[in-house]
Amino acid sequence: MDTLQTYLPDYFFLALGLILFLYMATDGYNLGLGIFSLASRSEEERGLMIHSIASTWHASQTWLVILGGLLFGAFPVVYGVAMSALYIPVMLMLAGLAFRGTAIEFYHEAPNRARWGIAFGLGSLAATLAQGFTLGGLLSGMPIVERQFAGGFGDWLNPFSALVAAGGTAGFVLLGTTYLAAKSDGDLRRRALKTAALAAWAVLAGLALILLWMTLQHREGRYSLLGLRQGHYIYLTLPIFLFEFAMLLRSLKKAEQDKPYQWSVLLFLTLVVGIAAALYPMAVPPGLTIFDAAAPPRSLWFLFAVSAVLLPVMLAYNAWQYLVFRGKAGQEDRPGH
Amino acid sequence: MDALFDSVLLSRLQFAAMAMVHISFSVLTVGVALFIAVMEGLWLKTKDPVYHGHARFWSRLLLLNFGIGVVTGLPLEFAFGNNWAPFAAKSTFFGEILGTETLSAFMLEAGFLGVMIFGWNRVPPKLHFFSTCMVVLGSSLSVFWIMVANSWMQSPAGVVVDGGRIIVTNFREAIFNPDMAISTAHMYLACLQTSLLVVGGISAWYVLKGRHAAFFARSFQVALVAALVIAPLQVWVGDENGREVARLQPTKLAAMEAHWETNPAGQGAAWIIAAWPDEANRRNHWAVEVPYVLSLLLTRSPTGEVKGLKDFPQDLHPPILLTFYPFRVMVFAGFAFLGLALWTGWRWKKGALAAERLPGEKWLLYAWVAAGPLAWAAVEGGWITREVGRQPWLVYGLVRTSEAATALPAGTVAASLAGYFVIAGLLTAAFVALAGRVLAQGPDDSMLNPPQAPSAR
Repeated sequence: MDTLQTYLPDYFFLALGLILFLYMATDGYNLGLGIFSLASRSEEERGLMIHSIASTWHASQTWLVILGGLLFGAFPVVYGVAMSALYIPVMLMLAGLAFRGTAIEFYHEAPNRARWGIAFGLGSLAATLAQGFTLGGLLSGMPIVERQFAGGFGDWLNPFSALVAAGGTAGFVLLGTTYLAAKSDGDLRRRALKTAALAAWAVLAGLALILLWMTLQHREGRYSLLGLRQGHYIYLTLPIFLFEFAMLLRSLKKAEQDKPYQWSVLLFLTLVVGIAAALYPMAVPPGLTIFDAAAPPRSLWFLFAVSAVLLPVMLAYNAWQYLVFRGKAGQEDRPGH
Repeated sequence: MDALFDSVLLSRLQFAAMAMVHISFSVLTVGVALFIAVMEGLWLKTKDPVYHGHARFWSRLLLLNFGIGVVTGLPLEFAFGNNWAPFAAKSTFFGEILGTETLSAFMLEAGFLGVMIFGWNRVPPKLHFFSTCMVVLGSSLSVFWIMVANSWMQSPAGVVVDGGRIIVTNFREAIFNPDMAISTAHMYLACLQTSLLVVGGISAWYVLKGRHAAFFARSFQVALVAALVIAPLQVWVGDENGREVARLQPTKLAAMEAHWETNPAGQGAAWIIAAWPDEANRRNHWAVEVPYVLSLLLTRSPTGEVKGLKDFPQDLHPPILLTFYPFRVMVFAGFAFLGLALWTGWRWKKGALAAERLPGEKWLLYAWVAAGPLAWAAVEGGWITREVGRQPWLVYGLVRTSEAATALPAGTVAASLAGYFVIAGLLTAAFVALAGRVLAQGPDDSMLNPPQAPSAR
């Protein structure tokens, strides 16, 4: 048991990585679709976009709730430090998500749909940007004294986190438009595919700039992800990333049905794996490891038992819900319509 | 104006605002989802399309409520890291339970809600009913886990303090802490009671207006049957809960009752109906009292000893006005609901609730319409009592609130609090307007038609 126990923080590091990926793969397309909806050409079009995610966005957003809950439970110090340091972007994200979520439910009941449609789009954009700054802020590193954040509450705002936010927004738009392409027809689908290609190039450009920035920062001897013991691991994922990128472009060009979204999801998986490999065993760079930050062993065992049983069950019923609502989006399912 | 520069106080205000807004939606999610499951179950059993119509009609309102409930709940989860980071780092148990809640309850709710709301034509009726039941189970488990976490803050058990951290030594004791069972029961009944009063109140309003009177007589009757069970049960459970508070948190109890002096042996403690407590001078300016009742309530003896606030150091006194009056709002509301249930039960026995006679019961119906808002007041009153009465502790006897807040700049918290008020105010106003619109539209004809068989896909 004692040997197993030493691996518990690793298990939670993996589990959190998986949940972060699931959140990006699912709510990423909701948020990206929201951003794309700002460019919709008619209220009918926007209605279709909102309806296409109405049945599954709750579950998508809940991955974020689980990410927070599991981080709090397994690495309470990280939760406290990161949420304090990222107070402002987290608040902005919550505000964005509040408008996004209520707009989805209110849109079809509202007399003035355009207003909620814009709230849906702007809320999605704000939440996406704020999430980018949150992730960028975390990877920028945080000074910690006695288990508490000891830096400035504006540290999260820096060129690196701005690049992550911009790249992340392009990434979510890519997910949103490739998802929409699978759910729609005609002109809307054509435009979604076109935007997806632009977004894909923007993701590539963003990633190149981020890596360039990190490499330059590293040379100056200042902190960056590359300063970590395994920081260079992030380069190892590049060939896989580029292969997936090429496959994505090819499938966009052929205007395939579900493939563009699937390749986009794989791109995100590769990114998450790359970041995780570079970060490990750090929880908060540059100095807090997952072993220092972990909850006491008995607590980890408890949460291990709960999550090891429930994660597969959750994955199963989530998959079932997607199966029920597969196919093109239609209006026939709305209550009272 | 000092409050604007005190980041701990601002963080407390922010958490209180977030909790008070969130709970007013989440209690409805729990109870209305259960109500819909009951209606859907009755439909499957009796094949009476009225029940199907009800399941569809209330689902539309539930969805509006669920959306705002979810987005107002999200900030609460993050608040433990945002504003209460030292608490998060110090007390690991709370995080474990919140993590367990997200894994076991929140995803269950969210993972089946889509099918429950949008899947009527996509899955067979029995599978749909199963999905509805999973949403009910998920929301009920949320109540359970959040009450486990909160009750542990009221009566921490199964832990030791080690090197500045609170370490769990026994999960069974920590989860089944002394306050857990009774307060979970009290809260779950509060969810059901609020929901049945809202459903009953809305149904009464339709009957009064003469719109779909026969249709809504049905939901009114279901609400009544539930009220006859739940209203007396809640008064009893509430009383038991009060006795637990007296045992576990004597300072809270004394503040709830504005009880300053321990009653001398052989004399009973009086129950105060209303008073003006004066914290600085540690006395009541005036009080309307019923002799012996407080002793009777808490010890089942007319002269049983009830510890007064003066027996405890003043720095352990909770803010008394904010504990005393919200408690009274809750208690009076609880008895009002009991009275309403008995009154309605009596009219039922007289046969006055049959669909054709119900519209004649004007006063009774008005009372039900008024009871809905009062149910919210009771829930908020109860939670203010519970949380303010625990002060100055965050975890009773272990962690003080003042040492648990993140050292944020006051201006930052003031800005987020102001932002929260604006956004929550806007969204709540929109919710009220849109729910009002759905109510004004009423159920449509399609709600009386059973769903088509799912297409062969």
